[in-house]
Amino acid sequence: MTGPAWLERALFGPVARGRVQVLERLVYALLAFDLWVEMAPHGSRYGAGGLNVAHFGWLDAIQGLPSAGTYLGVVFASGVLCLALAFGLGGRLARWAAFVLYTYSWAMSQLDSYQHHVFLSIVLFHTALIDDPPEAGRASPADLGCAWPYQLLVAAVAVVYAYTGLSKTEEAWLMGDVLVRINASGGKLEPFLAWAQSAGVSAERFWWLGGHSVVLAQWIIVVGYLAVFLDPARRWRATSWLALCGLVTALAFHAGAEYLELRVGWFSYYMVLLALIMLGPAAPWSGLLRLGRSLDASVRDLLDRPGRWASWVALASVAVAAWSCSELVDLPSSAAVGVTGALLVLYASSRARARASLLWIGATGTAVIVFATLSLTHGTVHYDFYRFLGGDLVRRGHPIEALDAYGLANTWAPEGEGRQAKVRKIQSRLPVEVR
Amino acid sequence: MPEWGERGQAVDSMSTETSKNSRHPELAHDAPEGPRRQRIVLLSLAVLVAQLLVPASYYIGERDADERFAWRMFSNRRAETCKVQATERRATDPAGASRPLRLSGLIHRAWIHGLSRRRPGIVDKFFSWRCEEPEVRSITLIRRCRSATGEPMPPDEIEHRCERAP
Repeated sequence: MTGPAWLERALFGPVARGRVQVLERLVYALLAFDLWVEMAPHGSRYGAGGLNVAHFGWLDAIQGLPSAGTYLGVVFASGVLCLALAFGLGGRLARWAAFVLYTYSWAMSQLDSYQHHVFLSIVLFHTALIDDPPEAGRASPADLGCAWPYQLLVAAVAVVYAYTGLSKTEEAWLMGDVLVRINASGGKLEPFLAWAQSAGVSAERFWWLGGHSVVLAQWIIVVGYLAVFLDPARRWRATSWLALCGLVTALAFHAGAEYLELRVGWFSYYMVLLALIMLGPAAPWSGLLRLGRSLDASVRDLLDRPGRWASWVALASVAVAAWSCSELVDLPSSAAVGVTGALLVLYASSRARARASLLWIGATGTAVIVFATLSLTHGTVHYDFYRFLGGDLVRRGHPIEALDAYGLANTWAPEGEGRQAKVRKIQSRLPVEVR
Repeated sequence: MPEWGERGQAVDSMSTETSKNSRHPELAHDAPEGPRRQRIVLLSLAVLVAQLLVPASYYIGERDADERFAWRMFSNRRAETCKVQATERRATDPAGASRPLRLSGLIHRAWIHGLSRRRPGIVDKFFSWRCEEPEVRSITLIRRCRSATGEPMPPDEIEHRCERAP
C-alpha cells in the first residue's frame, strides 16, 4: 500500500537541506533564549495560593501542585537542551527530551495558556522527527533530499494560519470591532485612520477594511504554505509566486502585530523565521548552512588535539560552569541548568566515536551553560521574577514574604527602576515591631 | 523572477538519480521505500488529521470559552472585557445569605482572569478547590462583560453546590 500520489509528492519531494537544518538550529536557539528570558520571569505564579489546573485532566491527577521550582527546573532544562541542539550537541534523544520538557512547561498549568507555546510544541515534535544530519563531507549543504518531517511542519503552519483566518471571519472581526478594541489600548492605528479619513474614507469603512484585510492576509499566507507543501521542489512557476505572496504578506502581518505591540511574546519572530525559511529562496539558507559548517569544522579542528588531559579539562570546565551557574543565578531550581548540561555532556561523550571530540563536547556544553547564566543574570529576569512574586504576595496578604521578594527584586533592579516605594508602603502598614 | 526554490537543482539532481525512486521522478533520491514509506505516510496522515480535528472540535462541539487549542488568537471572544465576582455560602451562614469572596486574596490574578473568561477547566477546578473547605456549601461566580464593541452584555451567573450541601 502506498499513500495518495499528492501526499507522497508533498512528503518525499526534494527539499534543500539548508532550509531544514537552518530552521532546526535557529528555532532551537531562539527557543532557548525565549525560555530563559521570556518564560522564566513568570515562574513565581506557579503554586501560588495552592490552586492549579493543568491543561489535561490526567496530568493534574499525576503531577500534584507544581511550584515555581518545578516550573523553572523544566524551563531551565529545556533551554539547555535547545541551545545544545542549536550547537549540534545532543542527537535524537535530546530532541525528544526537549519536546517533552517544553510541552510539559506549558501543559503543567493553564497559567500558561499562550497558544503559541502549543504551536512551538508542534514545531519541536516535527524537528524531533528529523533524521540526524549527514556527517560533514557526505553531503554538501546545497544537496536536495527528502525531509518529510519538515514538509509535515509546513502543512502544520498552514493549518494554524487557516484556523486563525477562520476565527476572524466572525462578524466582530470582519466589521473591525476587534481592531477598534486593540487600537484602544495604544492608539497605534490612529495615524492610519487620520490618513484614511483625509482621503475621504469614513472611520467605519476604515475598520471594516482593516478587519477584512487581516482575514485576507491569513488566507494568502495559507495558500503560500500549502503551495510549498504540495510542490516542495517548486516545479510549477505558480508555486514560487504563491510562496512569494505568502512571504511578503506574512512579513507584513507579523510586522503589524509587533507595531501594535500585541502581547504575543516572541511569536512574531518565530513566524517570520518560518516564513523566511519555508517560503523564501533556498540560496541564503544553503549559504548559511555552508558557513555554519565551515565554522563548526574550524572549531572542531582547533579542538581536535587530544592531549593527555583534554577530556578531563573538558569535563572539569562543564563542572565549573555548572557550579558557577548555581552560584550566580538566584532563582529556584537554578541547579537544573548545570545538571542538565552535565548530563547532556556525559551522554554525548558516551556516544562519541573519537576521543578527540570530547574536547568539543565539553566546550559546547560549557558554552551552553555560560549562555544560560548570562541570559538569566543580565537583563531583567531576576528583577521581574521577584517583583511579580512580591506583587502576588501583597495581594494575597503576605506582606512579610512580599518584603523579602521586593528586597531581592531591588537587588537585581535595572538602573533607575526598583520597588523601593512599594517596600516603604508595605512597611508603613506593618506593626512597628515587625518593620 | 529569480529562481526561488529547488526547481532547477531538483531536475539536475534527479537526472543523475536512477536508483530506487526512478518509478517516482518527483520524489527525492533518498525518499524512503517499502514498509518504512508506508509507516511514514500513515504517521503523517494521522498527524495531519489530528491537527485538523483538534481545532475543529471547538467549532463542531459546544461553542465554549475554551479556545486553547483552536488557534483563535485575538478572537472576538478574547476582545470581550469581563470582571468577575465570587460569593460563597458557608454552613454557619443563615439560609439564603452568602458572603463575598475577595478573589485576589485567595488566588493568583492569572486564575481570576481565567474565571472572568469562564474557562471551563479553571471554573470547575476553582469550585472543587473551594469545596475542599469543610464549611463551604456553595459558590457563585458573577461575570459582567462588555463585548468587543464595548456594549454591556447580560450578567452571567454560575452557581455551584458542594456535594455535601444539604
